[in-house]
Parts: sequence; C-alpha cells; structure tokens
Amino acid sequence: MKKRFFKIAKLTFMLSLSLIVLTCCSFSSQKGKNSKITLNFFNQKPEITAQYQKLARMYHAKHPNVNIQITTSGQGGGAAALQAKFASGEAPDIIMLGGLPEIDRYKDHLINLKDLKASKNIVPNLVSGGISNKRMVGIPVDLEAYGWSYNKAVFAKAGIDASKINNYSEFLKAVEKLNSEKKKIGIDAVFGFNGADTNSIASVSAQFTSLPYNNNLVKAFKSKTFPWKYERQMKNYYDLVKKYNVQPILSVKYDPSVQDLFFNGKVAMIPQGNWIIPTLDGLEKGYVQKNLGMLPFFVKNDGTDRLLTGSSWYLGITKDHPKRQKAAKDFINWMYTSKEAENVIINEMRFVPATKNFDVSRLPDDLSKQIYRIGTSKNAQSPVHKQYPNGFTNQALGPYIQRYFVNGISWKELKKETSAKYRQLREIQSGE
Amino acid sequence: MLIKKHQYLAFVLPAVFFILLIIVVPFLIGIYYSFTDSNGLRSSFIGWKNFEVLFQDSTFLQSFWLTVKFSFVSVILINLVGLAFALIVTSHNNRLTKSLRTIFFMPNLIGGILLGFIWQFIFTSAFQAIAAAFHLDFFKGWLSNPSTGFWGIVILFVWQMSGYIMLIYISFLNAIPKNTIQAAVLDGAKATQIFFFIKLPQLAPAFTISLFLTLANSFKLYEQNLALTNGGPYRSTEMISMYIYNTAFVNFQQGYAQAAGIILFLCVTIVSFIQLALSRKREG
Repeated sequence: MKKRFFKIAKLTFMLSLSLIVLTCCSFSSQKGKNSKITLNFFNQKPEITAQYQKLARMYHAKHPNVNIQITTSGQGGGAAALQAKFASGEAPDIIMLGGLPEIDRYKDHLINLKDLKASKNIVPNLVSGGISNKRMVGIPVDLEAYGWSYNKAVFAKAGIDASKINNYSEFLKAVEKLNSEKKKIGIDAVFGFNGADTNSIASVSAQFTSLPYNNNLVKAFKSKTFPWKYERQMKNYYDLVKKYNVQPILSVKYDPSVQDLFFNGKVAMIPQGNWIIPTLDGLEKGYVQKNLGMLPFFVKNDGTDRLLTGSSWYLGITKDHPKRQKAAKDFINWMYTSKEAENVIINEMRFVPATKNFDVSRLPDDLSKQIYRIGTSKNAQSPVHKQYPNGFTNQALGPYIQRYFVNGISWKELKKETSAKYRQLREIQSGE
Repeated sequence: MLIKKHQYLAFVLPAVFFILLIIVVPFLIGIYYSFTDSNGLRSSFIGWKNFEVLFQDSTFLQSFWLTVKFSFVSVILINLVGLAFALIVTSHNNRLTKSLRTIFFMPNLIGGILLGFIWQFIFTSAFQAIAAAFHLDFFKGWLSNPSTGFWGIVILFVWQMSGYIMLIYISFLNAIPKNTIQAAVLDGAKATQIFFFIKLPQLAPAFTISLFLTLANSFKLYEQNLALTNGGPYRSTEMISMYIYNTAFVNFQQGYAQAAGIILFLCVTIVSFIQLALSRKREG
C-alpha cells in the first residue's frame, strides 16, 4: 500500500514537473513571436566596443523592439572567429570586414547596399573598397589617415617647423637634426617604429604601393603582382628607420610605442595615424590638440604628396536572416545620418566620419579637421594594404621586412621573396 | 548464443560509430579538401596543384625542417632528462625523493599556453634582469633571435614533458626484479655497470613507449609554440602545426593547409612506424 502511494506520488510529481517545463517553453516561444528583433553585430575593432554598445543602447531606447547584440573579436582572431560564426550557421546580421579579400570571402552572403540612405553620402574615393562583383556590399566605418605621427613638443624643442617640411630632403634634414640633438631634446631615438607588428609594417608599405592604383581598390585587390614602382623611395625610408629607430627594432611593440615612447616624448615620430587619438587623449586630456601632428611620406617627392586617407574597415549586411535585414538597414542608416549617433562617433570614438558634406567644425581637434579636408579633397589617395591577399601582411611582407630591418636579408632577396609569395597567395586563394 | 553475439555488437557499435563520425569521416573529407582551393566557405577541385606548390614553398620547407630538428633534439633531451629524473627518485625511498617526484611531474599539470606565457616572462623579463645585473650577454634578448627562440621552445618542452616520461621510466624501473640487481651487486658490479648492463636492457619496452610519445608530441607541438614565440622573430620559429594553422585561418588557404596536414600525417606515421619497428626488434 505504502509502496504504491510512493509510486503515485512520484508519478504525479514527474508529471507536474514536465508540465511546468512545457508551459515555460511555450511561454518563452510566445514571447519570441512578439516581433522583437535581436540584431547580431560582429565587430572587429575591440577598442571601440564600449562606444558601439552605447550606440546600441541609444538605438534600443528609441526602438524598443530592436536589440543589438555586439560580438567583438579582433587582434588577429577576428577573421577566424567570423568564419566560425558562418560555418556554424549563426551568421551575424551586420558584419565588420577588413578589406576586399575578406569581403570577397563572404560576397555570397552580403546584400547590395546601394539604395541605403547611408551609402549615398559616402566619400567617393572610399566607395571602391566595399565593392564586390560591381555591387556595393560594404560601407566604410571611418576615415583614417596614414603617415608619420609627430610630437609637436619634440619638434618645437629641436626648432623644427613641420609645415616647412615639403619634400624628402627636408624630411631627411629634420631627421638628422633631431638625431644630432637627441640628448638636448631628451629623446631616445628619432623614430619609434614598432617593428614587432606586421600590421604597422603593412600600413607603412601602403605608402609606396598605393599610388599606382589611384584609388581603385578593386584593381588593387585583383592585381596579380606586387607593385614595386616606388621601391627606391621605399628602401630609402626603411633604411632611414633602420638607422634612427629605437633598438632593437623588432622588440618595439604597438602599445608601448604609442603609450610610452610617443606619449612621453621619447621619440619624435611613429608610423601611425589618427587611430591613436583616443589612446593619447585617454592618457591626458587635450594631448592631441596640443601635441599631435601628422606628416606625409614623400614618395613621388614632387610636392603633391599627402597623407593617405582610407578606411580599413567596412560594414556589410548579410542575407542569412531575411526578417532582420530591414532592421539592420535602419540601424546603419541611423548610425550614418543621425546627429546623435554622429556625436558619439566623432567625440567618443574620435573617428573622422567617412561621409560627404560633414560640418568640419564639429570635429573636436585640428588634426581630425585636417584629415577630413584631405580625405574629401580631389587628390585624396587611399592606401591599399587591406587589399593584399589574405595572410600576405602577417606571413610574407611583415616577416621579410623584419628580416630586412635586422640585416637578415638583402633588398634584392626581399623583393624576390615578397613578389613570389604575393603571387602564390593570390593564386591559391579562391576568389574572383 | 545469438544474444551473446548481439551483446558484443551492442558494446562495440557505439564506439565504432563515434570513431567513424569524429575521426574517420573528417579525415576522408580532409583528404578530399587537400585537392581543392577551399577557403573555408567555397571550394573547387584543383587536382595536385596544392602539393606541387607546397614542395616549392620555402616557408613550408623551412618550418618542416625546423620541426624535424626540434623533434630530434627534444626527443633525445626529454628521454635523457626523464630517465635521469626516474633514476634520482627511485634511488632512495625517502621524503626528499617523494617530493621530488611531485615537483618533477608538476609542469605537466599546467597547460601548454600557460607554460608558454610563464616561460616568456622568464626568457624576456627574468633573463633580461640577470643580464643587466651580471653583465652577461648570454642572457640578453632571448626569443628575439631565431636560435635562442628555437632553444627557448626546446627548454620549455623538455621541462614540460620530462616529468611525464619520468613516470613511465619509474614504473619500468620498479618492475625490474630486485634479485637481478642483488646478484650483480654480489658479483661486485659498480653502479654504472648495474645501470648499463642490468637496468638498461630491461628498460627497452619503456624506451619504445617514451620515444613514441615524445616523437608524436613534438611533431604536433602547437600551443607552446604559439604562447612562447608565436613563430617570431619573422616566422623563424614557426613549426609545422603553426604553419598549417596560419595557412588555414590567417591566409584562408584551407585546401592548401589541408594538403600540408596530409604531408604531416604521412611523415608522423612513417617515422612512428619505423621507430616502433626498430624498438620492437631490440625488445625482442
């Protein structure tokens, strides 16, 4: 009798438990139907995750049924993480892609953004960086300038006027002067080139490889050969860096080169662009306005050399979840056209916007204003290092130039090996 | 009778199913992909081209040669150190040897990535401090040139693996019949003679296992390589596994990487078979 009672009790308990579970399930599935949308945004720039989250919150406040989930993976692991997302069937709705090789990999998943309100306003010479099969599938995240960042205070101590440096020989003179007065102005070396980072090596190489493509990034992406047209000037600059850099050059890493060497005035110049602005101003408010200036590389050396301006990253929308496409488009439109979003982007991310007809006076510092003017001018030039084949930067160009820096390889060998690797990578990588 | 037969199948089939699903099928798919230009999302058949390019790829050949060198050096060192450890801890049975046993085995309990970072700290910061304090150039700039980078990985791997190999040697040393040693002592054999003529021949099966384990592991080394040098400086310490990973997930030449993986598989198989055959012969 007792046994039976227990059996029944057990059964009822189990039944009620399963009922509870079932009701829970049905309840939650009902909740899902309630037209709430969660957009997945795959971000590859870890340094601005917080600001993107802020934008997502702002957007959610205005559109309560749209949630934006931001996934961040960067610093080398981003590309592989993104592929894993696609392979597992959880394709994000909005993805951040670095350059045409990466865009090409996902071209079958990306929708045409041509009719987007945001796309109509993009700075013209950045458009080609988001084009695949003649469709506009990516829009640039921001406008970045590539050149030398110099410390104005150090230049002033050495009595150098940066505005008077207009060609290579004047640049050389300034470098030699800085070097001879090293002790007096308190610098360790003239350059703080972070030789440990292949990404910085690649962005510097773009100074010498971009001109032949004249802003046609699709052409750069399809090129089967590495352009050596300006190799003489390339070698000059590398030799100069080799001679006047903080040593050992391969031990200089990005973070210390910006936050210690450059910030504390231990070097005069580092090969970085306006992406170092948030870091510097984060260390000391107003530092950028006071101390940061940029100088171009003198490649053609005919007075037309400017800072290169382009965008490393492009945003695209996938077609894997058709129901969420419209929400994704609306969010991107909002980011690129509304004033409140722009304010976060220019004041907190410290980006220079990649949109036309932007009121320059809203930008918070002179350097950003200067970059916007150069980037939107007629003779603006986009860098092409993001169009190199996948892996070329980390696996070929970077290591060979590092070898060159420590005299492990001659210039001739460097050229031969780099060209061969470039060809090989283009050949084996499937693409257009 | 029938039930018994089915019982056998019921025990074996699940295991066979999972081995097929997790090892055999992916392996066969992998072989197929080595003949394509797959980038992970799309692929088309390109025949033997990957293999043709592979054998002209200086970086592949370089990292392959580096792996062979590394395996040779580390297999010898790990077995020497492991055997030495085993002899030390079995020589006496007291508190010291017992605690040494734990200490020697400890590195094996820490994961490869963590070990890599620990040793990176030792090689860069600690060595730098020694170099500065005693003005010894020997300790300067480890990991920043190809040869010290190579030896850095060897030291790390020996430190990690020898404790494990020690365990194998200990168990075989303990299994040596005490009377053979006692007989040798009575005959007036010296310690070295006992080691070389009594212990060593009886350790032959231990060598088979240890050599096999260390060889296979050193060919497949990845995370220690990643955490300690990440292939640097300028890819000079990039071993074959890392080469394959980078080719697949940095260059996105996954078909090509797969081809390199197949080559690695063939090499490890051949080397292991030769080694097993040779050691078995000596055992017999």
